[in-house]
Amino acid sequence: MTLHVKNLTLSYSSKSGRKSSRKSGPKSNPKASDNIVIPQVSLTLNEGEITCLIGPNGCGKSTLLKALAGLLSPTEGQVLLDNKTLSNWSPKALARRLTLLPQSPVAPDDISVHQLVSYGRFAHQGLFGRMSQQDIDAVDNALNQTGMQPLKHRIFNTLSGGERQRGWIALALAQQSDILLLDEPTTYLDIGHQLEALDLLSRLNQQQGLTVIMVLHDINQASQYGDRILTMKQGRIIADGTPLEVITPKLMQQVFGIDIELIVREQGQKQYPYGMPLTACSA
Amino acid sequence: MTTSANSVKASYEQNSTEVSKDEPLREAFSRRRFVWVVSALIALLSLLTLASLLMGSAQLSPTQVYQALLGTNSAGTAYEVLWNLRLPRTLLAILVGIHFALSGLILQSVIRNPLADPGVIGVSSGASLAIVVFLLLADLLSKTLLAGYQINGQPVVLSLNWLPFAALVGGMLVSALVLSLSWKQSISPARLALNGVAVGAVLNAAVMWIVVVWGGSRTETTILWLAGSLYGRDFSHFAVILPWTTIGLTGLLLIQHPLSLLRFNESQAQTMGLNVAYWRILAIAIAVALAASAIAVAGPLGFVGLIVPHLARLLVGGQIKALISVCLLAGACLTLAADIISRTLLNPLELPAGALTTLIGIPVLLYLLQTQVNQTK
Repeated sequence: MTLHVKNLTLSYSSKSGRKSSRKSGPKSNPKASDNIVIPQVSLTLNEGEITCLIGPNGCGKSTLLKALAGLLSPTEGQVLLDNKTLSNWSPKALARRLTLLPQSPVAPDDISVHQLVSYGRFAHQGLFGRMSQQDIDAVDNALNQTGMQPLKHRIFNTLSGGERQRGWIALALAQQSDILLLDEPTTYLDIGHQLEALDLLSRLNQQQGLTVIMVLHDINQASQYGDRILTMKQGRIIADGTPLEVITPKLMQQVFGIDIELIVREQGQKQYPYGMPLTACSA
Repeated sequence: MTTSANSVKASYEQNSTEVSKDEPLREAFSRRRFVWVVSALIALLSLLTLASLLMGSAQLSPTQVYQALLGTNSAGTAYEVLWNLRLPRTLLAILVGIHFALSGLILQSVIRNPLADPGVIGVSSGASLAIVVFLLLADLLSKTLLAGYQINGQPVVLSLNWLPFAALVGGMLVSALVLSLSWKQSISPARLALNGVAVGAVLNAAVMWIVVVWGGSRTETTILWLAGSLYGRDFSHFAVILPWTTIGLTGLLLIQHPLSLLRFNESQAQTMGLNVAYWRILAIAIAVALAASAIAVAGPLGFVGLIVPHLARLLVGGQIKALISVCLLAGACLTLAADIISRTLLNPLELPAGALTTLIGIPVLLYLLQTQVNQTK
């Protein structure tokens, strides 16, 4: 059960085709050649790992993440799950295997937290959406894991930004997919809630073998929580490895244009680098 | 490091409990409230149905109505008035209200815009144009092609009984046009709304042009129809709409769960396992069928499709299953009440019911919106 990316090319115009992305095959589109976001990427994402995508704004992290979730149809190449192209999966079957938490999702008006999280069970339900005992347990569990249980009767859109973000994570957890893709899950959260969300993901990864692939802005959080870091610049993956291999002063200067002072921290047996930003370098 | 992470978590948990204690708990709409609202609406609908059967320009006593209903006294005006006028009209008002309300609910959910109603996808303007063209053709034909013919001494004319079918076909054709204009691998809601409004504006201009330029004896019929009314409707109209009620309600039952997810943005819905392109088109098709058939028999009744879903949401919250039952009942109540008032207020004159649905619906909606704002303050 791994996610393979083979010679993937993504372009802007394929964004307009995302609606049918799970249907239409990966056909090359000659018109799209000038709008290419990601020229060519091949990689394999491993089961049970936390992979972090980092890189400057507009480098194509979110685009790649969407393609991994099957929400963008590739201009060329393909994304395979269990050796089967994403577009050949039925939407429900795919949703039971992987799910994406987008960057700033919007909920319908006037639904409660509990109702929102229950929608996460769609892929497990029949046409009429009757809740089985399994569904009820999954929703309950997701609410507990994210500390949303006390808020479950509240109207979702009246909650604070942090509470809403935890609600969205609960929704993704209720779906019980074994691959969870997240686009900047720490946006809107204060530092306490940021660490709490990342701790939760880390715990689920260790206890239940959840595969996590996320875009993060903070290189040090990527370093602390990631098993593997993919560094992107201008649509290309320019570094791929463990935090110790990737978070280096030279690479950070190359990618973000910043000078950092490197400190290696230890947490149990795990060593990870901490890059203290000094200044934006003039070069 | 681990300890510091734990302490962060502990302090966070403390915070979160404090927050939920201090803030007034805004409980979501409860099951009890839903049951209460539905019961109240059922009671209201029963009362309105009774009133609709009892009130009108002909004075009938409750006993007369009761006897005529049961068919014990099948002779006399009471029987005639009830079975040819009041009963079909009452039933039609109920069905038309249900159609517009549910169509509006579906469109607001799919297009993800609170201002969406059946007008947005071109149903109303298509049906209006079809009506005007039909009346124009009927006049032209009776003056030219059919002028020399007579059957049993009567001049042959294009029967007005075909009017509902013309409206149905017109409404469906134009919404199909709007849908195809908005189709690019899948329906884009924003493009759909814009295309619908644009096409609607062009067609409405055409309608006005035809009415003004051609004028003549049919202008009054046209204007009355365009305002929306249930005047002079009988069981033949009921037969036109009933099959579509069956299709629409069955269809809605099948899409109710996917419809909940269509309210999310596309990527979100897709990542939850919904085949967005497929369900979106199916939901819109059902909305078109419901709206076109209702317009075919009653004309575009003002704003029922816009108001009722909002009323329902303010009453019972945003869950689709609850909204469907409440929209169904509230839509029926609104049009029935509007129709009763339209034929009793200036008795024996008839007001167009379409104007009254707006007159009743908008103040109620504004009141509810106002109370909601006060609650959240």
